[in-house]
Parts: sequence; C-alpha cells; structure tokens
Amino acid sequence: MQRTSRNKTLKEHLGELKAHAITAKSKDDINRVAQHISQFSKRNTYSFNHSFAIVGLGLAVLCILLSFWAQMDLSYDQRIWMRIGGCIVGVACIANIWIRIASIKSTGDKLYVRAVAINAGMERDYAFNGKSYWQELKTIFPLFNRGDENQSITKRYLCGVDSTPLTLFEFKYVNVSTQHSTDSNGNSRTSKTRSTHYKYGMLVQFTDFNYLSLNAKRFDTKWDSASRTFNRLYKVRCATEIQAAKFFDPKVVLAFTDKYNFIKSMDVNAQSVACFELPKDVFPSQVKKPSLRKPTDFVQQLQQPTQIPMLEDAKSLIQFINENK
Amino acid sequence: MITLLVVAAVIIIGIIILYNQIVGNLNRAKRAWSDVITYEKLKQDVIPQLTKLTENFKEFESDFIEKVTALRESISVLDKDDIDVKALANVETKSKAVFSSFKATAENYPELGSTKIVQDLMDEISDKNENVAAAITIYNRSVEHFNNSIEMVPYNVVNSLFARKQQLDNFHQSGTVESYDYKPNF
Repeated sequence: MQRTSRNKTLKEHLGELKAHAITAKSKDDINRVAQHISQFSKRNTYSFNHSFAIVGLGLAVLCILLSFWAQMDLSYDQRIWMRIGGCIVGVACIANIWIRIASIKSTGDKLYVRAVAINAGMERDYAFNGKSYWQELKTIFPLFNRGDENQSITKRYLCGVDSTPLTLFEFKYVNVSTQHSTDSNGNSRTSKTRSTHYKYGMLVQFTDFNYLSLNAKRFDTKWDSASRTFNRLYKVRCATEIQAAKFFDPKVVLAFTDKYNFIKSMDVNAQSVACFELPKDVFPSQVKKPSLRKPTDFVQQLQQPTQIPMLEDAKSLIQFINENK
Repeated sequence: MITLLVVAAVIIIGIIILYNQIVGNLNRAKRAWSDVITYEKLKQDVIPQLTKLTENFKEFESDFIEKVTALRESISVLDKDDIDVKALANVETKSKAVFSSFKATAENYPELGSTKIVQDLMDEISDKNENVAAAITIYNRSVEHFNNSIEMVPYNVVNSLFARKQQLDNFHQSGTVESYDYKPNF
C-alpha cells in the first residue's frame, strides 16, 4: 500500500541520515547529505502518515465515551475493560505519533549538530568509555569529584588551536538526596530524590603553564589584582605571587574581565593540562537547530551552519594565554 | 531599653561597615594608580634603546632627541603615592609624540623599519602602551567605584560625618574631545 511504503521510505531515509550524522567527517560529506535531502524532498515530505494512529485514537476515545453511556447494555466489568482498553490503545496511538514526530526532529538535530561541529573544526569522539574516563579525570581535577551516582563523561569533542590540542567534554552526574518523614502513626518513611546535572568545559594541553588557577584551590598562595571586577569574578591561586603578577599584567586582567568573563574556573596540573569549566553554550548541541520538516531551509543552513560564538571565544582565550604566559 | 541598645548596635555596625568600604575603595583606587605609574615607568626601559637608535641612524627627525628627553623628565615626575592625573596626561601626550614620530620614521624609511632592532622595539613599545592603557582603564573604573561610594546614599552620610574623603579625578587624554562638536553638559 502507498501509505505503508511512504512511512517505510521515510523511516529508511531517516536511518540513513542518522548514520551520516555519526560518520560525516568533512564539509564534502555534509554537502552530499544536503543533496540527498534535497532529492528526497522533491518526491516526499518529512512527515509520517498517521492515518492508522489517528483512527485508532478516535476509536479509543469512542470506546471510552461509550463505556460511560448509560444506555449501553454493558455490565460494570465490561465498562471497566472498555475504559482500560481505550486508554491503552489511545496512549499507544499518541505515543506512536509522538515517537515518529520526535524521530524526524532528533535526526535533523543530530545532523545539524554534526555540521556545526565540522564547521568549527571539531570531531566527535565515540571511542572512549565515559565511566573510565571520568574516573581518570577525577584523580586529576576536583571539578569531577561531585555527584552521588551515574557520573560519566557523556560527550567528547576533539579540536585544536594552532598547535594546542583541546578536548570539549560534557560531564553528567546525579545527586541523590534522602528525605526522612514520619506520619501521624509514627511510621517513618525514607524517600530519595535524584537530580541530574551537567557540567561543560574543555581540557587543554599547554606547555610551561602550570603555576596558577582561577576559582580552583590547586595552589596555596592567593593573589588579587587592582581591578575590583576581576577580583569578584576570579579568585586567583598561584605557585608564587611573582608568577601571577607577571602573567596578569593590566591588559591580561582587562581581557579576562571584559572578553573572557565566561570562564567559570580554570585548573592546571603539573603537566600543564588545564581544565576550564565553561557555560553549556560552548557545546555544538546547544545551538538553535532548523527543522527537517522545512527541507529547503534546513539544507541551506546545513551547508552554511552557524558558528558557536562561545567556542570561538574559548579558542581565542587559548591563543591569548599562549601569547602571554 | 534593650531595643534601643540593639538599634544602636546595628547602626554602629552599619557605620563601621560603610566606613571600611569607603576606605577599601580608596585604597583600591590608589593601588590601581600605583599600577599605572609602574607601567608608565617601565617605558623608561625603552628610552636608552631609542637614544642609541637616534645616534646610529640619521633618518630620525632632528627634534626626536628633545622629545625623548622631555618624555624621560615627565615620567620621572610621576609619583606612586600622589594621584596626579594632569601629570599623567602630560606623560601620555609626550609619549604619544615620541612613539608617533618613531613609527612615522620607521614607515618612511622601510630599510630602517624592517631591521630587527626596530621591529623588536616597536613590539615592545606597543606592548607597554597596551599595558598602560589597560592600567588606566582599571584605574578609571576604581575611581568610579570610589566616587560612587562617597556620593551615594547612605555612604555620603558616613563620608561627610566620619571618613571625609574627597572625590578623585578620572584620567582622560587631553586633545581627544576638544575637537568634538558635541560636549556633554555634566
């Protein structure tokens, strides 16, 4: 039937696009995918045919309504089963429609995020174990020493500025809080609340830059500048005050206050690996994504994806540190 | 009676906190001024190299040495402990005259401008000027914060009764706004 083949065709096409969203490595790959989408959209639309689901939903609603109709010659149990059955079928139909719509959106989003990452010179790295990587980072940087369970590095992008390699990471962790309550009968009850949190940042391998940190308690010696705004944003700790004073000359202080004030913290270890905590806007997944349901607009934006302003600022920060350290 | 004592204690503590903030803001402005003077005086490191260049290369203007001498003298007048924005403005004017003349000579004589010593000197001068400009910006912000803290309520009450600090002047470069048609009326 044509309806079934339309849904089947679209499902297969979305499967191909999902594969491209993982395997695309260059702008040429993205352009090929864009052409593929253009050709597909000439014959098809990016919407599933929900006829069966809509009919099923209608029947489910009708079934539920009839179960309340007193004139129907039904026993109490039959009415209950009609309501239960109607609810199950109705929810299943709604879920089916929602899953299909969501699959179009998620495929388009993944593809666009891939294009944005390639445009920014970033490569998504899938070849790592999130849990092991987190445990390794936890021993080096206190930033990762948080959360009660499910700590993991969920995403990793590899990038570089000049000859300085950098890694963008998304760190996920879950905080568990326990509440104790006692009811009027004296029975105590314990309930647990889980909240998921994310932290974003980058790891940068510098050379000969291992003597100061911002908003991180790596070193014992404190230093502050003449700028009130800088001191409110950053608590500087350093190996020696002289090293901090030499690095933070007025133009560096002003740059950190005005241009690079998005940094939440900077921690460096003895091997000059710096861990910056940054806002989530540095990640390509945070950009505004076009809709695949408007293929012309989508293709245009896919071929000329937006930049990530905060990532460009972060790269500029790395160059700035290299010039001034 | 106890209520009165509590209110009095709160007022006294409030006055102490505000007074300390005013003093802290003034000290921060003084520190920012100190940094400006420190980086201005670092320009003196460049002066011997400029003098040596003038002796070795005849392409420089005849009055270049006088400009360099005037700059050296104006920098020596600056005092870390005495906030004198007029003296600083004088230094900046003379500094601009010297470095503009140096840059113009380097551009007019490409053989001179392309030598390593001149390139290195220009980079060093540019770096020092950037640091001075940044230090002045930080100073101006500190001055703004201090002036706010002695003029705004309730700081002005504490200042007039106890601290008695005077407003500080911002730094501005002379010759930058005089040619503008629009002048704000404050």
